[in-house]
This record gives sequence, structure tokens and C-alpha cells, in this order.
Amino acid sequence: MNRPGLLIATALAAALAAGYLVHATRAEDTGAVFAGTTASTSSFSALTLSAPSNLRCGLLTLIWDAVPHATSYFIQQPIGSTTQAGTSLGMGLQLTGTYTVTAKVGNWSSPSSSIFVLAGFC
Amino acid sequence: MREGDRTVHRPRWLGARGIAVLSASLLAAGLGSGFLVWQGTTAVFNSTTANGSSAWATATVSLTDDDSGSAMFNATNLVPSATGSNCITVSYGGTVATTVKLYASASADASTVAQYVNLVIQEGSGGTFNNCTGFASSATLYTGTLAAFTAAKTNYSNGVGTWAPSSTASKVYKITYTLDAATPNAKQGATTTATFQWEAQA
Repeated sequence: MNRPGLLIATALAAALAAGYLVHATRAEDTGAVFAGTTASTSSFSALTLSAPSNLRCGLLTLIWDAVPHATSYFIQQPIGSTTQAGTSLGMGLQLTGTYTVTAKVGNWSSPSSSIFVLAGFC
Repeated sequence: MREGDRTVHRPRWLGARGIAVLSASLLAAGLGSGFLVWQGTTAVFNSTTANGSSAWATATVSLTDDDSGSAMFNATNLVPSATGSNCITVSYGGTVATTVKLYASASADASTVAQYVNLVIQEGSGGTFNNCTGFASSATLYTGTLAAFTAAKTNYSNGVGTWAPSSTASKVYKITYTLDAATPNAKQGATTTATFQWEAQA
């Protein structure tokens, strides 16, 4: 290539390169925007129901400590079962056998606790 | 040197080449000064005018909220059907028209309980952070689970929101959560977190 031809080719290449750079850095191509943000964190933790504790016998009555957040208690008696809100249960005639108590809230249940009763005594 | 009857004396160091160089220098100086004179004589009558100096200032886009860095929710000991709500005021301090979108910029749900956290997100007016008294909804932006929100609303382009301020303004957002009544027993003790982020773009 003679000298004028080389100069023209060089100039053309430079112009193309410059045009490409301009095109490549346009804001809409790079997605650049002005943005402002603000945020707030949140945490949601579900309860863990504790097992009823301190099961003991009163006068013909089974007693246990309240479980935080429990709304009811399911008691499996020697014969049959019952659900109630309070933390004591009259044993009636079922003075001998195993009692198992479970705390409840909604459809959730706690681990259970059991106690053996003999002739009304724990 | 003798020239006719005159004898011309020149310095011994000034040979024929020196004379040539000296002559060329003098010629160049003369041409140069002539050029300057010529330039000085090309003066013309002219007149100019200009408007005031131009300035280009970039726009601003800024958002703030009134939570003072506190968590919007730190709900613990949730049981099935437990519910709560909170409000937050988001303020726009920019100088150009924009649309504010809300999305989850981060989340963690290792125990997969977020699918049982139901959300209702509203925007409106009235109320402040930790006090929704007087809140009046103008739009319900989202109804669904937290899990679905954090999965689908992850950035500005897919975020929710209709608020489009063009200058300084505020909007109150109310978020209500409810732990689904059918949340399985196995989800006791589970925790999920999310960061609600508001963003304005221009």
C-alpha cells in the first residue's frame, strides 16, 4: 500500500474505533441510572412449644405448670383422653395408670410429659 | 583580504561557511519579523456576543425512611394464625420524576417457613414507623406469601409499587403478616428473614 493509502486506512480505522467506543459507553447500553434506596430488615420466628413440666398429684388431681403460649392441653388418661385449657385435671375414678400431657397451640403440639399414678398418688 | 583599494578585515573565526550561516539567520529573522508585522496588520473590526455561561447539573434521586435503622419486624414466638403489622414512611428527596418500587433485596429461609408467612403490602398515607394509626390505603401492592415475594420481587424491575413522585414527597407503606393457620407442627422454632428495600430510579 502506498503512503496516502496507508494514511487513509489508518484514519478510517481510528474513526471506526472512536465510534465504537462512543456507542459502547452510551448510558442506555450500560443500564446506568440514578438510583436511591432505603431498606428495612425483618425477621419472623416461630414458637417452639415446650413440654409440660412439673407434673404432680394433688388431692385426686393431676397438676402441671403452664407452658408459655399454649392455649390448651391434651391429656391422655389411663382410659380415654381429654383437651382442656387449664393446668389441672381431676382424676375421677382413674386413680391408677399413666397420664400423658401435651401442650397445644393451633395445630401445633409440644413434646409430651408423662407420669404414673398409683391409687391417686404420684 | 584586499578588495580594490580597500582592505576588509574580518574575524579570523568567521570563515566562508560562517558568513553563509549568518546570512541565512539574518534572512530568517527578517522574514519572521515581516510575518509578525503582516499578522499585526490583519486586524479587522469584529463584534461578539454570548449568552450566559452554561451549566449542567445532574439530577438527584434519594430515598429515606423513618425506621431509624430499626427492623420493621422482629416477630418472635409466632404461632399459627399469629398476625401483626407495621408501617414505614418512605420519603423521596430527588429532583426528577421517578417511580418507587419495593422488593426483597435479601432473604434467608433455611427452615422453609417463609411459605407459611402471608403478607399484605399496602401503600397509602397516615401512620409512621411502629404506628399505623390513621393509615389509609391507596393501593394493595402484594398479597401472597413471603417466600413468593422474596423469590419473585428481587429488584427494581420486578418490584411492586405505583408511587411516582417528581419532587420531595412521602408515602406510607403498611405490611401485615400472618403465620398461616395450617403451618405444620414441624415448623416450630423456624426463622426466616427478609430485607424490604425501596428503590427509586431515574
